[in-house]
Amino acid sequence: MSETIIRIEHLCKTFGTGDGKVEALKDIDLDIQKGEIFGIIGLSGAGKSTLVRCINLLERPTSGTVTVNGQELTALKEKELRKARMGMSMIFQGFNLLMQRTALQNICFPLELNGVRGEKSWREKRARELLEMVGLPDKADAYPVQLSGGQKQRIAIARALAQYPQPQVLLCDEATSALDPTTTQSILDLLKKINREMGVTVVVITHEMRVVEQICDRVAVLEGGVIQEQGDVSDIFSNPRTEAGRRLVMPNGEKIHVLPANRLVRLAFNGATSGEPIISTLAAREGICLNIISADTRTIGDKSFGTMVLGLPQDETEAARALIYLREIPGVTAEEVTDLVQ
Amino acid sequence: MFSEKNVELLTGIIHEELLKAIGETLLMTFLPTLLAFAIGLPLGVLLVTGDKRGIRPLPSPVMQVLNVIINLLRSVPFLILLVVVLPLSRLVVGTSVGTKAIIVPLTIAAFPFVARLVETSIREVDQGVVEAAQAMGASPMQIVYKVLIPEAKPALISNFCVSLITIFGYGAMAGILGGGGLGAIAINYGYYRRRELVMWVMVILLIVLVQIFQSTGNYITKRSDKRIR
Repeated sequence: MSETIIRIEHLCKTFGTGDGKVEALKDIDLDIQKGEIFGIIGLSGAGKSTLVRCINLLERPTSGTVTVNGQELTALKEKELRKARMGMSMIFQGFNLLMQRTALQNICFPLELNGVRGEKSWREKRARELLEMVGLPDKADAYPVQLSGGQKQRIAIARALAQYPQPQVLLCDEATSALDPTTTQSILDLLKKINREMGVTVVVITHEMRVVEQICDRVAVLEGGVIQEQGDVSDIFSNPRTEAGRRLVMPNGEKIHVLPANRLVRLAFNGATSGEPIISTLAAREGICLNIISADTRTIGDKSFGTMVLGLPQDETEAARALIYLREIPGVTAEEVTDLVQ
Repeated sequence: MFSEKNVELLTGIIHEELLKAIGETLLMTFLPTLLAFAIGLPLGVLLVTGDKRGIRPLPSPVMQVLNVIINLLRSVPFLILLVVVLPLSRLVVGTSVGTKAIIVPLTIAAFPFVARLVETSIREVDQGVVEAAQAMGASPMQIVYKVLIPEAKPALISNFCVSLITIFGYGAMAGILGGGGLGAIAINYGYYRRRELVMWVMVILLIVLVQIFQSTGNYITKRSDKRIR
C-alpha cells in the first residue's frame, strides 16, 4: 500500500571501547513508510536520540545500513551525505536557533547553504510563507530571545521545512519535551498539519506516550537499545505485548502501591464497546462485584480507547467466571496483570 | 613635584610631543591588535574545529604542535620577547628602533593570546546549533562563516577590546627599549630623569585611554549581542 522512505537494517551503535564500552543500539531493524508519522518511544537512556541521530548520520552507526529515499546514506561520502541531508531535516528539544539572527534570517539559513538558488528576495519570500504557515507572520524580525519556547519551536519547524526542494522527512528529537502541555498540543497539531498538507514523513522521538497517542500512526518501543515491539499505535496501546510496552501504556507508568485485591485484570477496549456497562452487567447478571482500581480513556488518532484495571474477587471460582465473562466481550482484551503489584 | 621647572617641562612636552605621542600610542595599539587578530582568529577557530570532537578534526600531532607553539609564545615574558624579536623587526620593517619596530614583537606577543581568547569564545557557541547546521547539510566552512563566527561575534568584539588593552599595556612597556608613545615619555622623563610630574600626567592619560577603549568596547559588544533583549 505504501512505500518505504526510511529503512534501517541491522543497525548497531557502540560508544567507547574496552571497559567503558556502551552498546547504545543493538541490531535495530526499522521501516518507516512514506507519509506516515512514526513514533519512537522509550524512557531516557533507551537509545532513542542516538537512533534518530543515526538516521541523518549525525551519529555514524558502528554497523548496519540506513537507507533514505532509496539512497544508502551509510555508503555515502561526506560531500554526498551533506547533499542528502538537505532532503531531510530535524528539530530539537532545545530548538537550536541561531541566537544572533532574526526569525526570518533563521528560516533563510538552510537556503543559504544550498548555494545554487541565491536570490535574497526569493529566500525571504519563501521564509515569509513558512512563517505564515507556522502561524507567526508578525515575528519575522524578532530575535529568538524575544520568543517563547513554543514560538521558537515553530520557527525551528519553519526553518526545517525551508530547504528547497522541500525536505521529505522531518526528524523530531524530543521536540515537545521542553514545552508545557498546551504548547505541546499546538506543536503536535502543527506537525500533523505539515504531515497531512505537505506530505512530509515525520519521525517523532519522545518519552511521552501522550505525544505518540496524539499524532503517530505507528510506533516502536525502544528499551535498552533494542526495539521491544512495533506496530500500529492502537494495537500497541490496547494490547502491549512486552514489559516495556506495558510500562509506557499503563496509566502514569507506575505500579499501584496499595493492593486492594488478590488478582488484577486489565481491560483494554475501543470506542465500539466502551458505551456498554460491562461492570454493572457483570454484577447484575452474575452477582460478581469487581473493584475498579483505575480507569483511563484516551483518544488515539480518531478513535477512543479505554483501559481499566479491575480487582478480581477473592473467591477463585468467581474470579475465573469474571475472567471468562470479560474475555467474551467483543472488542475487549482482558488480561491478568502481575507487574502492577509490588 | 610641582616646581616651576617641572611644570615648564610638562607644558613644553604637551606643546611639542604630546599629540605625536598619542598618535604613536594609538598606532602601536591598533595595528598590532589587528594583525594579531588576522593571525589569531583563524588559529583560534582552527583550535576548535580541528579538535577531535570538532567539525573537521585534524590529526592530533598537528593540534599538539599548534598548542605547544601557542603555549610557548605565551609563556615568554614580554620584555624578553621584545629583546629577542626586535632584531627581527629590522628584517620585517627595516628598523629595530622606534614605534614601527615595536609593532613586530607586539604582534608576535599578542597573536597566541588572541588565538586562545578566540578559541574560548568559539567553544562557547551552543553545540546544538552547530549540530542543527550539520543536519541541514552545512559544510565545515559554512559552519565557520555562518554559525561559529556570527554566533560568537559579541564575545569576539569583547575579546578585541581585551586584546587592545593588553597590547596597549605592552606598548607602554616598550618605551624602555626605544618604542614611542606616551609610555616612552613617561619612562624617559619620569623614570630616567626623575620628573615625576611628567610621569604621572602620562599615566593619567594612559588610564583615560584605557577607560575609553573599555567603555567603547562594552557599548559595541552590548549593541551587537542579540541575546540581550
